[in-house]
Amino acid sequence: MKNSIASFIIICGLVGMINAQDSLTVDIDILKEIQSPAANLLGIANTDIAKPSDPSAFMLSLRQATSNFTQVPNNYAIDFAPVWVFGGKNISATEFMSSKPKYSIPQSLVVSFAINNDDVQDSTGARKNTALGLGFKFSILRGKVSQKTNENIDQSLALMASLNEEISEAYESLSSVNKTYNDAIGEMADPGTSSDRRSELTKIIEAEQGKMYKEAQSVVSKYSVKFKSLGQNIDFNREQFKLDFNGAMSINFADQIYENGEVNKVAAWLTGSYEWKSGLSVLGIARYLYNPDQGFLDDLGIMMVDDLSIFNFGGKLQYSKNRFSSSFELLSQSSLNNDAVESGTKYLFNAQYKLDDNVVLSFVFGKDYDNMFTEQGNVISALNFLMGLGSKREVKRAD
Amino acid sequence: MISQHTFIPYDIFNQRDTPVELTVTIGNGQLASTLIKINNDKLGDFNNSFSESLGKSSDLVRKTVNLFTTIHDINPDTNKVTMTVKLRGGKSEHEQTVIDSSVPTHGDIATALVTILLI
Repeated sequence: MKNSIASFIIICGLVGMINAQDSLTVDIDILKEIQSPAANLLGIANTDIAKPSDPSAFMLSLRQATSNFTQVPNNYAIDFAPVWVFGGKNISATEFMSSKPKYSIPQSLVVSFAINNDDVQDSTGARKNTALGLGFKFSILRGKVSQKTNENIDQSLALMASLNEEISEAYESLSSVNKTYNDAIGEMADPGTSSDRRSELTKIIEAEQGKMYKEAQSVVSKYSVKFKSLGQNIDFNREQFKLDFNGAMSINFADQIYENGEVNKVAAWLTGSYEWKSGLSVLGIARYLYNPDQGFLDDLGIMMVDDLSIFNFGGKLQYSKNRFSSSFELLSQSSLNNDAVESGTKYLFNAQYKLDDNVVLSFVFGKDYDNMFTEQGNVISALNFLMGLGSKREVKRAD
Repeated sequence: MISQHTFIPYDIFNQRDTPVELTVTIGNGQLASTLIKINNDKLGDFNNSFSESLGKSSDLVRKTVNLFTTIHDINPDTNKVTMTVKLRGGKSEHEQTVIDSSVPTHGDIATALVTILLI
């Protein structure tokens, strides 16, 4: 019986692979989270993007990319969160954990910039070109931190209060018998003490304060492991409703001449999602895309070139529990300015069951709309049986 | 672990009934708890960033205020920890950065002692 099932699955897998080669790909990329809108438009990998977290790192990144501010960067992409880079010291924990838009919008704002000086190929051969990408993204609603995170935060606050009490008791017992310190404090508090003498007294007080504080902190070590463990268990994977907005544009400078600058693409995304504890989540997206001088086939099959404004709208329903995960994605497309461009929808159903560490049974079914706006096609990528190349590893316990 | 201490003499002489206000700002979204003691008497425990009135100037002259603060790095995006103290109600406003640094690894703590002498 087992052999029959295995044979059936392998045959289905082979059929699936053969069919997949002929089929249209139902790739709904826009439903994935955009890491860096500007770099994304220019095709720059996420690993090549500078992400400075403070003003000095920001300036260092710019300095290196521009050879000490003497030239335009060659290939460069940067993402930075202005509120964190320039005003992080004013963001309190309460504001950081809040889900209110007045905190989430500025805190989640990421500005991205990318430049690419790679040559482009056209009918005459390779031509010099500069592509510039500008983008931004922010969360209007970023969800709420989990109940578990709130409980860990309460534990951390209680632990800190307990540590402060122990340090203060140790410090006070030391300071109560420190004559040098108490004499200096007494003289400092006297209104008749001169400013020069106060400067001297400040140095004496700080030196004694430092010695006593260092000794009082001997209690810290017994708390360190607890803090470390708590800190690593506090996660900010936010739950419930999230609403994000992204925007980006790219400009091409043919032959690297400023006057030749032309907008190449403009796009804006609005994505919303909601996650339930049961493992069910729903994601919705609305995207506007402006493509100047885009080539397409009209109803008669004649190649046309026009500025296109495309609007996409769709959603994804996803369920994941234990070894099983499943999703259904639906995306519609319509042209806002050109009736010759065919509108349509595409959808994709995906189900996976993890049999073992390296063995996944998956089923994919979908229908695509043609990217060149010619005709729609039905796609069935049948049952795929994917066996991982790596064997299951035995984990031996170290002696 | 980061540990800082500082001493702030704050002039409130002749300010009579003006309330002295303390503001502590803990930045970068990090968690913090501060224990305030005035002449070794506990005023209270305060979480994260806060503002608190220490009392009337006339009642505070020649008194010592100790702030025992612990900051816990819980922000997964940064290990930076910052603490700023601001005093109002004296002859002039006083603002001082106590900590502006980074803890070695995520989940570490930083501690600070601020002693304010009201003169």
